Amino acid sequence: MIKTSKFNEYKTENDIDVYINNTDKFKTNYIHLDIVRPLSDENEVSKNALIPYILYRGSKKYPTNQDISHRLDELYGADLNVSVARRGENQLLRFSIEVINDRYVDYKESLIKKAVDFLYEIVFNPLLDEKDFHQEYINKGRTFLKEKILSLKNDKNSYVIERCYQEMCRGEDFSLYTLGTIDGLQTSRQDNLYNYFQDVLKESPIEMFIIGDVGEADQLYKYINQKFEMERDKKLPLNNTFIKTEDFEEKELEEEDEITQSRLCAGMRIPITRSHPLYFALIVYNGILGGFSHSKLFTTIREDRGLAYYINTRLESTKGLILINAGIDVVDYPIVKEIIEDKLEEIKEGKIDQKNIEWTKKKLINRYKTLSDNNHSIVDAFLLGLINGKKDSLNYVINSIKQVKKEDIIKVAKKVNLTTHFLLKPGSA
Amino acid sequence: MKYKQFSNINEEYYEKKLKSGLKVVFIPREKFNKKHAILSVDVGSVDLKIKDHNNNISEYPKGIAHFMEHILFENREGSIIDKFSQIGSSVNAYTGFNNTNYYFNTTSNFFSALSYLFGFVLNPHFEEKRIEHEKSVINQEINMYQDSPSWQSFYQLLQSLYFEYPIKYNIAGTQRSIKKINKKTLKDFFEKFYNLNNMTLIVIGGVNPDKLFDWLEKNMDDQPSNNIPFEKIYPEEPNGIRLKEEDIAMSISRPIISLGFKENRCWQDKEKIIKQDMISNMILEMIFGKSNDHYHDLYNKDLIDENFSFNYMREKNTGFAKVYAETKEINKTVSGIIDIINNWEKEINSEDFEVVKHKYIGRYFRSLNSFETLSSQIIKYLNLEQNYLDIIKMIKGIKLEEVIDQYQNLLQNKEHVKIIIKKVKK
Repeated sequence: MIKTSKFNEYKTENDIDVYINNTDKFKTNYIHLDIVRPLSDENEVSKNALIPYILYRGSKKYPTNQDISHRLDELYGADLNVSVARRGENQLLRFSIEVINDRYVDYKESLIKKAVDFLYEIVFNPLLDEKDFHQEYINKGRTFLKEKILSLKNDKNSYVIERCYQEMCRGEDFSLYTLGTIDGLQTSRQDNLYNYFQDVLKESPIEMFIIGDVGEADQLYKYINQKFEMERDKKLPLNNTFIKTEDFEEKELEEEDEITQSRLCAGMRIPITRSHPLYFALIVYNGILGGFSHSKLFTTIREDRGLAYYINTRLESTKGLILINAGIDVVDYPIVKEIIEDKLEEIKEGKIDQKNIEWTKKKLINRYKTLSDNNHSIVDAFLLGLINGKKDSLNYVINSIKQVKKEDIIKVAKKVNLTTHFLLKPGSA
Repeated sequence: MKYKQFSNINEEYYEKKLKSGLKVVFIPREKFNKKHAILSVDVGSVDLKIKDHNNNISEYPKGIAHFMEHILFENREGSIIDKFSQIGSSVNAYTGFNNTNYYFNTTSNFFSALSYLFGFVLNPHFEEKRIEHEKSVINQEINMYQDSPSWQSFYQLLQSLYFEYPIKYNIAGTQRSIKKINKKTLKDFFEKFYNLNNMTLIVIGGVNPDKLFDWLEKNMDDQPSNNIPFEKIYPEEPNGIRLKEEDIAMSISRPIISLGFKENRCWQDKEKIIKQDMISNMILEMIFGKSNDHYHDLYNKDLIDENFSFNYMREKNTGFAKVYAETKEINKTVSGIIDIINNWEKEINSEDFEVVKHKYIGRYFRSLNSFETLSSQIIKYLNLEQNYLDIIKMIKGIKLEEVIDQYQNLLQNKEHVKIIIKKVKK
């Protein structure tokens, strides 16, 4: 029997979506809030990215970062996190707090309600100087974000992935980096960020998730509904992603850096997203090609040829992209490239072992089942469903994967367009 | 069989030593789909020299424990990964300084997966061709880490802290050292370390405990465990640090500094080891944690940012504290951090200490959510004859005098290692 996670779905009077998963599986209660923005303009993306890093420095009630930390300590070492992420052509401003479940500690009040209150203070009640956010926090946020943008190149793997996305989607919104740009940060100086944020709060979809042993979910919802009272006029859609279906440009790019190992990223376009009948076949396709250690790429390039320590694929299911990613010796680049092309061709021609299909399906099912064992993954998976307009149940997903046929996988393979090769190789930075 | 209920954290715990010498720990989690098993072998990257009962010394090339971890994934019947894939399970492994761990996660066919796990860890097949093949894969792995600034700063720190102790070597070895590995060295290494007396199995998930222990007794009790007595030999490590400063250049956006303080009181008493680890981490948290003034002073002067971190790591015969920062002002940041450390004594107070204990307990509960974190902690504690599920008592019992004592011996006006990773000049 599959133990699934189920959300009670609510909507506050001002149109904030609240999803509560009442479970005693976890030792903690996890509260997560996403503000969803279109990823569409360099300056806006930069302003959006800046906001979480200003907010978490201080609020009206907890004016310094120290006050925030003290409060977290009081809440039994609660963990506050802010981040910015990209899903398709949507930018997520993410805020979360995780606290120990009430049953494990002697605390005078309900920790979960205190955590909700706290998150509210951080996001909705910031520290202001007259008309804008506290200037010092804006400056700090800007410095921090600038360093974060520049430090992308410290992690070579993340760097090639981002560069590959940029090159393959040049001219599309998806090529905008999640954290914005240095130029965009510079331009943001001209605006009143607090006013901008008020508009963001008014018009953007806000999705809130709570997972844990919350007692009465309805009660908690009522509490949130009251607490998060504010004027809103939600105008923006939850998904703003454009899916390119034709006119693909082929690109091959190389860059040099002071490194030992070359990193290759190959980008493919597949115009199939969640509502497409071949969506589950695409998931299986990705698994057969490179999602697992029994996949074609890993078995050929690592197991048979010893050309790489890692080679894998990642599916961006909202935008319809697959990236192949490997660390290789620069001299092996031509051969690795050739093997990749061969493997893509093999699947198109139907040269797929039945066992590869079976194993991939089993592993995928295994992975979907264990999603519900991790409170953070539950949120991520559910949110992707929301963005893509399909809140498929775990049982539905598993059944759909089981039903994928070899012909479906071949159909997917025929829609795959390998458009971009990006190689970072040893040389001078 | 030992059975214990920890009602304060809502956990149950089973422990048994089987006839074959294998130690087993089981933690039931009925509400989860996932079932997790990890087989931990008591040998790691620091185990490079042993003495047998005839006083013969064997030495092994650096990186051999990690090499073994790789090579066991291939055996006579073909790829191990394929076997697990057949039942939808995923298998992986990692090598630490003091142990090597093989694990799988699955939602079904748990006992098949368990038999595969024992099957491949206990039945090696060393073939020259595979060994050579694996060398090229590991060379790529070594290269990958070479390019990681955080890995480099950690590795250089160990290199500078230690004169002799093999924790200073790369777990994977070097391209040169793994060249020396062959069928014979692997066979010998395997015979010494890979027997059930030297292993612990941890199982977490919705498995029936009777079925589990029955299965283990039925299948594992007649496993040969050729327990050849031997003694692990470690070099004598002098007190003090090997190098005060090391600078290297990499392609990065701004400099990285790591400061290291070496533990010179590496007690052998196991409970004391765990306590020293907790106390030292609490001290660092009290000095540099975000609820304290110092973090904010450094932050407001632009000397550190969100990437600032610190921790203390105590292993069998080693211990060290590490403070990590990314900064443009190398000298100011280093002297700022060192001044704070040296002058901390007067700030020690019981209020902060109680707060930090709370924080630890919060972190502890979060760690119980993840099967992988839980199993790795269970192993760490078990190797020191302690139970990770029973540590709240220990946290609460730590006294302020112990904090002061550890601070004075580890940090206050103590010499330290400084690793600087600079930007490569264009």
